[in-house]
Amino acid sequence: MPDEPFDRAEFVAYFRDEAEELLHRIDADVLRLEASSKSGIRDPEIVNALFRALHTIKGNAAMLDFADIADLAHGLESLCDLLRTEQLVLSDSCVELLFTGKDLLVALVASSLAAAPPPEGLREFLDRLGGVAQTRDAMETAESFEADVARMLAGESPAVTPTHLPGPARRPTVRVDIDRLDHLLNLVGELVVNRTRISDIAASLARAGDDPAYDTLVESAALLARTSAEIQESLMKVRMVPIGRVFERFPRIVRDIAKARGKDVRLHVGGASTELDKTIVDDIGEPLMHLLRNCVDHGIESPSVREAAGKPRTGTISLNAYHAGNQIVIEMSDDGAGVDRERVRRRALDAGIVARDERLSDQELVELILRPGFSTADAVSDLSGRGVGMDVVVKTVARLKGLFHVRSEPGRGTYFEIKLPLTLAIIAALLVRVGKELYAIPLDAVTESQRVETGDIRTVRGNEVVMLRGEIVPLVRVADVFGLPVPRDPEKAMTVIVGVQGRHVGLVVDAFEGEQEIVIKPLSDVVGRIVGISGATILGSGAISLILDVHGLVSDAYASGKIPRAELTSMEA
Amino acid sequence: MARNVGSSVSRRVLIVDDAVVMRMMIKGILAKSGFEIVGEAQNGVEAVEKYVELHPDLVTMDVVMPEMDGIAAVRQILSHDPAARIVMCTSMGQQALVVEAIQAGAKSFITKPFQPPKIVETLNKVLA
Repeated sequence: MPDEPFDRAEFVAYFRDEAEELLHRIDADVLRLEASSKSGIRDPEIVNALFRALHTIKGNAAMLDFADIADLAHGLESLCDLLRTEQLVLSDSCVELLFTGKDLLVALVASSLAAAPPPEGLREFLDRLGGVAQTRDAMETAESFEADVARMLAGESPAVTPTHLPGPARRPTVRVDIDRLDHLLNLVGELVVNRTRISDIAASLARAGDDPAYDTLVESAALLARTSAEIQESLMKVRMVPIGRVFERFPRIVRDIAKARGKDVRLHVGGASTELDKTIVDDIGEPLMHLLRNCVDHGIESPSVREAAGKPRTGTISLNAYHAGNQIVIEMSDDGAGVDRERVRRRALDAGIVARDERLSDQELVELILRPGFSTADAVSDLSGRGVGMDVVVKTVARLKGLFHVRSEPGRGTYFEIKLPLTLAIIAALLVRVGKELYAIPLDAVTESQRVETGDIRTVRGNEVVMLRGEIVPLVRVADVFGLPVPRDPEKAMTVIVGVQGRHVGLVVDAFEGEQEIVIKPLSDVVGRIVGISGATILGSGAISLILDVHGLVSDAYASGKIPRAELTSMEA
Repeated sequence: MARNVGSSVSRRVLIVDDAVVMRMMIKGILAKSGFEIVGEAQNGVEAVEKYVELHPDLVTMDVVMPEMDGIAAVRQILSHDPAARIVMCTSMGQQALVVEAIQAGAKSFITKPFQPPKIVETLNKVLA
């Protein structure tokens, strides 16, 4: 039977139809992927479907000698493969790559019937993709591989192992599903909680009785405490990944935005090897990217303006990360124009964020850019923002239990600082009792706790406040927040002063119950978001305690209308 | 049944691939070379069903497919018929999967894109 070459032209039209249908699905899947990356709810099936669709296009294109289509589909498929095997974290830039790649594919497929030249930017895009995902692999060894499999089929060679295959150099590492680590961490957390309890019991037994066995018990408890602390620490380290993973893609992004805006910008990156919890690394990328875009868009001036101001034409953005105690500090600064106070005030007025007669300090003016609803409306660019304000950064950082700080000097530049806990899984907390309920307050938010005499509580527009070293601090009665029928103490208010971003609130409770390390368990989706609660924990005694959402309570207390700033200032005076 | 006249070997083929065009192309090549295409399947689940129904002499099996992938389908078909002759159709860069499929009992493999003579040669070898 003669092996006639098959009639390629016969299939090209069918190829195009099928490819177009697949591209529609790819488009929808990339959109879903983008949405899921924003919501944080990951559906592995989206990436799998993308992978399969691209794979099909690649195979078909290769059969019909559409080399460009096959190359591009292969590159995008490799990217999806990295995503689905979690070797790559889904980021904005990934989504952008997929969108751009999909658009190029659409153009290529559309021109597949005509002998049109490849669309502009294809090679550049393939190079860019190649930088992220290994795209040109497997080709060199295909032949030797076929020979290996032939031997394997003939029973000569026991097996061809996948390690034989080309790919990134393999270090002796084990990849573990993050869920397993989370589970382990949960268990260790409970161990840690119980060790405290056992130590306490042992100590009180030893105090009460003179049986030497009690002393041995105390020693054992101490040993148990040390070992479990070490387990906890090593497990934390297992979950740590360098923040450089997030930083890696920034130089490119800065370059692109700067180019589009006609600016010269250099990005200095430091501390890329600083490690923090994987879950935090996954979430901090987007806020950082947002800040970076803001620095390029609104911070750095155009070269001519810079020159006129006696600055070097090239602006500099510095990104740095380092550990400070139990926190990681990420700093980003630019040597641009700084926040234009007058413009910010005008915009805030237009947006109804501040009142005309509101007196604001210089720092408060700068911080207006962080308020929800503050938009850089007259400067909306295609790159910066997508209509998202800086408040998104503040919200993400708050969700990660971090602190966000901005300083800006006119003409000199702007400085952002993000402080994040190294991990979100185990925290030190102050336990408080309200009625019969136990609540946990993250200790890092607590500045002090004290007994406030009822006579010292004043009322401003129906809101209770207390003077604390010259500062007026709003009081929030936890019982009222949750509608607990707890009678008020006529004489005193046990108050925990918590602070977020320099704002303080006094949380009124019934009693302080001491400090404890707690394991945070997020509330399930079934329960949904509850105002004032950020999670739950199980105490050593087995009791369940809700964790107060300090960020939420503080921003609620300061929400416009409740405690007018002007009145606070006048009281101060 | 329309056997290919002059061929002593029965060459009834089931083509499994999730891409319509790929199935059409394989079908086109094989039909011209004296194979009889008895069925097509677009995922692993269909492949197993069609195999049980048709008992073809040969299966060409894609690897990456929705519902059930090619390797799982190989395992299921072989557990139904240990003598099944399955040839994997894979793309570049999937050697690890080829190895897995061969270990699962596939008889051979071809790598897309393939030249028409290559697939015919491979299939004939497996049937011999």
